[in-house]
Amino acid sequence: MPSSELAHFLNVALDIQATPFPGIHVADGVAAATDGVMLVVKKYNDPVYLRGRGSLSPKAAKVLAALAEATWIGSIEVNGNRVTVTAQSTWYDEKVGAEVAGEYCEVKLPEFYCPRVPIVRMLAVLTDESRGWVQIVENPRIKNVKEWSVKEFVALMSNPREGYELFRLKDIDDEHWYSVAQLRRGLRLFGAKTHLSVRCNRDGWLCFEDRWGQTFAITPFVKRN
Amino acid sequence: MVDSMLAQFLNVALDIQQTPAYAGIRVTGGTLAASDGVILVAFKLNSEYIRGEGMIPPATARALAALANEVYLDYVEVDGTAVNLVTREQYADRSELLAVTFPPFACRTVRIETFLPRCLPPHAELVCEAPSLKLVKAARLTDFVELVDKPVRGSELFQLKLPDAKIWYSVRQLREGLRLFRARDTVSVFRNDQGWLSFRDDWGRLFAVTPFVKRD
Repeated sequence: MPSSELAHFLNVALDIQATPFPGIHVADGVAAATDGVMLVVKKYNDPVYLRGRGSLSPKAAKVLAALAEATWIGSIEVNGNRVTVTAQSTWYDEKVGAEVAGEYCEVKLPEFYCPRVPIVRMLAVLTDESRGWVQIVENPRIKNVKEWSVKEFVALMSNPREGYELFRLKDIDDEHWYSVAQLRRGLRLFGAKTHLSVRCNRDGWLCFEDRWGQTFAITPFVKRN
Repeated sequence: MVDSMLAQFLNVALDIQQTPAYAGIRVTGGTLAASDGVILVAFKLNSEYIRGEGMIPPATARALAALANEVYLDYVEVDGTAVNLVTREQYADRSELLAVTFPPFACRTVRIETFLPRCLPPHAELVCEAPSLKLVKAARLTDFVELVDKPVRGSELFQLKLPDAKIWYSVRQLREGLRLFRARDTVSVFRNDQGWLSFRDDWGRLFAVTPFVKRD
């Protein structure tokens, strides 16, 4: 059985991460990737599954994503740039006529350099009360983001409600607005029918969270007078 | 130095071996081979570099391709469907050997190597050295082509299929396999009595395609 959820997160994170913050950063059971504008996070409450502290370079993350697409990953241990995973082997049982799971094997990946990022500090910003975070809506529609051109820019509806569109096309006098291209890249993290909760702070940062510990945060374009 | 040729071969082989019956990349005697039952790609490497015998499952092949693109591999050892490789980790003041072990994954053994002799002399004869393959790139994917009458070095190997052609090839299949070679690689073309067309370069890479045949 593949670790589809992990593989999906790694693929989205690999797409988002960019200099000056290359790689996927791990601390306290949390994996996160950012390019300085967007941030994707996955929290594992299991202290065994994702442990250690450090950074997975994009190269190591690609190898891990390939493994996760094929088999169940039992645990991931990150120590600096060193990544060790346990992957479940599989074999073809002629009697059963199907693929069956075997034992877990340790896969130690080569150490690729990747700079460390203060990921805990970055995540703290998403819950910092002094920044005025407020819950704006539960489970809104974000269909427009999928339909509009990636070159468009959008702003939040003035009174978003559950089940209704969250975004509208940007007006000239909007203070904060967002790129459809960026939103679309980050929102790929969530499944089509995922229940999303949306928060916003006074600087216009938007944060989408699901019930499985996945978060996508994005900073806005800001009107300068 | 990274092995980009191995990485490129693995990526092309991964695209080709997507039919479940032919999943995986066969390794034997230092040769890697993948097929979908219609086309075949192979890469003859040193048997000290690619050791052992077995199948590289698609997942391991994907991970191996990612690694081959980034690190120097000392050797790759295949045992059944388990793959071990030894790489060198470079530090500023030293390099260290690291063994990476991929667990075995379910993958049926397909003896693709049995088809390889049919693609090369004496079972196949040389058609042309270093022909031009521009038509394959210019034609539509849905087109079909046949060999020109007397192909010569530097001239076009294919022409669009004529209504009375007896043997012809799919542009889609040709394009898929010819990605194995770079634009300026010198490729030798062989054909056997069943019309199988094979392209081979000096680096040990081979692409073979089976033809469409007119039935009376």
